[in-house]
Amino acid sequence: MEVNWLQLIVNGIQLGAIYSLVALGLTLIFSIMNVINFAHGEIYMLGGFTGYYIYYKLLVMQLKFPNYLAYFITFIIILIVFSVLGFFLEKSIFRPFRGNLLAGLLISVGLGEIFQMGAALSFGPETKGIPPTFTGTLSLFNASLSYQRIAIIVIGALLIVCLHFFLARTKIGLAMRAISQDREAAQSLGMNYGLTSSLGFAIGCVLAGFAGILVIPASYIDPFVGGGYLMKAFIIIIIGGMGSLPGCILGGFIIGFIESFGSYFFALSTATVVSFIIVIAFLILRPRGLLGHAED
Amino acid sequence: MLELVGVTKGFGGLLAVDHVDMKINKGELVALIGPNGAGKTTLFNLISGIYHCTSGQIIFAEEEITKLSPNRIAKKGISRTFQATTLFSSMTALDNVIMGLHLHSGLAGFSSLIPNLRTRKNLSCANDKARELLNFFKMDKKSYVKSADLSNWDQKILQIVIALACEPKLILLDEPLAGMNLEEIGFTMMMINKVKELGVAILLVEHNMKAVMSYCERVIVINYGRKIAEGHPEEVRHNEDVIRAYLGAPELITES
Amino acid sequence: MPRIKQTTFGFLPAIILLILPLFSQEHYMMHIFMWVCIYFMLSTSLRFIMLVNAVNFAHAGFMGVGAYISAALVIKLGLSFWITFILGGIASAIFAIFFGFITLRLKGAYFFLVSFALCEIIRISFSSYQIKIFGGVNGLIGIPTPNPIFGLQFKVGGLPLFYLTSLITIIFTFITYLIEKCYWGKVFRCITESQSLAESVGINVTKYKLTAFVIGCFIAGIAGSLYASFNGVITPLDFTFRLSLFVLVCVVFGGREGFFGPALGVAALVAIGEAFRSFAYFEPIIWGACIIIVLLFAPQGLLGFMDRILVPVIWKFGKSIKRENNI
Repeated sequence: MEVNWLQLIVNGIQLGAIYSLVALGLTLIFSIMNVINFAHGEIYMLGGFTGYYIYYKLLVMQLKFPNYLAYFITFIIILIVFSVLGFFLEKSIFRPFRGNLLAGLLISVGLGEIFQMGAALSFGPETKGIPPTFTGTLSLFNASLSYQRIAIIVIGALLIVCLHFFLARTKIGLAMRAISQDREAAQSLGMNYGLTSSLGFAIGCVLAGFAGILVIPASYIDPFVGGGYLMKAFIIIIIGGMGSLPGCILGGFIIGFIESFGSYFFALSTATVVSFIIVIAFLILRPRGLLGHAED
Repeated sequence: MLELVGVTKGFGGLLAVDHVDMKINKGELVALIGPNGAGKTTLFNLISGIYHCTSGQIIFAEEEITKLSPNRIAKKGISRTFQATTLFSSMTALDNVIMGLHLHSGLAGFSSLIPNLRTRKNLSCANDKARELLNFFKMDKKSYVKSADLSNWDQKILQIVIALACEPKLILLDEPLAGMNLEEIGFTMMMINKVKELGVAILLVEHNMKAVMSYCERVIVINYGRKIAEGHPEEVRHNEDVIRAYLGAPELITES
Repeated sequence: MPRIKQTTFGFLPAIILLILPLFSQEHYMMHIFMWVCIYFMLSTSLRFIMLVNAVNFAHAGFMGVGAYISAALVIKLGLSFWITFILGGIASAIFAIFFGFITLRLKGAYFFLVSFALCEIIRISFSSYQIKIFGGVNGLIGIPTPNPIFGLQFKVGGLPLFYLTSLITIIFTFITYLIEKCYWGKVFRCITESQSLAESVGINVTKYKLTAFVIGCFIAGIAGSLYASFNGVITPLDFTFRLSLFVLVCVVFGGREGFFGPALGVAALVAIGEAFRSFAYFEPIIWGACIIIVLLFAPQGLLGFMDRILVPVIWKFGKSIKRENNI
């Protein structure tokens, strides 16, 4: 049995891209609003279901749109709907608790429960899957790489780059970075905290939603996947570094590779155990993560 | 008594404090002045242990304290106030001072968990001592007011009371006169002078030049993290480098 | 404007706890009452840890450590419950010393995240089939109830077992009450309000944080041992972060300011849980909605609601009645 290294590596990169997107959204929300969004996994899940119902059921099957167009349109729809959702959630529910870690956390837990059960009741608890958007495989060095997976990597990388430019070059992006460094100082400099928070939350939701729709043509969706992704996001944040966006990406790819190689050579559960052992090691040796700055 | 040798602190590429040498002697009242952002509070944070020096040494009472944690430095005899008024806001003024007495009230150990006679005695001693201290600062009547409800002036004074309660040999005061009117300034500086007369050395960061010039025996000037002048207030006032540093902020120079 | 006197009304929860069996001695209800004791212990000890500004999301994990160590000692070594339940607590405490020493210096949210990771690590460790003692995914079964003493038999669902559990609960939570009331409670509050000021007056923050954490986890371990003996069966899934979450919600829902806030929270959430039991699928939605509504309108929890709104309203109402009668 030959080990197909290229396949494992590509798998690792693909998983890493998805996990990074989810973790990035979570970290962004946290660093701006000091809220650990426990509903983040459910937002990813809703993105996946949007992919299922809107992209597949509506656009492709009913309206007979070509795959690529329908996919692109669904992205746009997610961009609009999820940012509105993010804005709305931040303004109406999270705003009163800005900075209050515990309240924000519990509220997001409540939201997560509502989303999860709501999805189960509306969409049914069964697992759903759809055929890939980008069909076919690429043969490279004995490896069979599905175009869908390659697409995930490319689109994922594109999104991460866009996020980087947004944070580094735009005025609001800089405001976000300032607030995440020192909330009080940023406020006293007159930055519009309200708008920045809402936008931050919106972007976080959009990223999670995008991750959902990216994954579903290659994998499956059910109302309960959220929890697992949330957990992975937490591990990534601990390993990659608390409060560090580059750390998220680094951590995301580390976990992606562990899963890819781990589940091939051993089993998925072993891979999970390995990631946790790494977390323990980090806790003991370097609690603030690879690139983080979390100590008192 | 306090000696800084080549103390440096860098953040990323920026040197907030750049090879500063400084000496404070017993019972001195010294002012640390400089334009905003010069590195004064950073220096305080280095001395009190909140930041770690990138390089250099801090020596206090002939012991090196460079790498000690803030609470151990307090034990060695250095206490401080903070630029942004920092108090235990939900507790009364009296309780705040009692906490200031933590190291010397005999309540710091596990023994204070046991409700025996000694603990009760220690508590009531701490209570009395705290009231004495508040009395010294004429705040006795406000003992039972929640510290968050006190006026700005009272809060600033309370910070100094807490710092004094630690029985320090050196107190670092970070802008104790901020937000005060002339009368309040007069009273506060008088109290600070009284503290000095008790034998406590004081290092004071202030922008109010009149107060600095009238009370302080020595002035150290910092700009861009470096010491640019040191000496008697009158000398420093006429020092060219100092004037140039402040020309960017002439409103900070007040004629007396 | 009076506030609810902790001392006067304080012992009410303890009394209510003790008279619970008067309402029903049905097997199912007794089981619920036992759980109320456990939740009470867990939520009060969690709040105790939160007094030093640490939100311990691994609290259920520490309960699990106590449960597994106690159960394993009884089953494998044949030791008596009366020794093992303390040993379970001690095991939990030792574990807490190691974990706390490494991680308590992290800022609030980060400590929360690593404690979350720890909870999962504990669960995975107990599920692991490599460590035979803990029975892997199936857990441990056949854990006996405490050995009879003074001629009292501790049968499942019986009164003696309930009173043993509730008495242990009351004793250990009373100890945390005493600690909070004494000087140490003041120090804890200082650490939460301003850690930098606390350090600058010489408070050894690490020592106090660690002590609070260890005591809280010790009590969680005791709760675990009690649970093991009255449930007879323990599995890794009994001690997941979901339980930690429930306990945390009890604390915040009831109000983390007052000592008996968590008790209120436990009472309210258990009642809600039972009331909506028949709506199985909607239960999470109702739960989620309750959390959101309470936090939006009473962010200090039920205790805060009573203090700030209910009591003043009743006071004013009482005064206006008095005034009318005088005229």
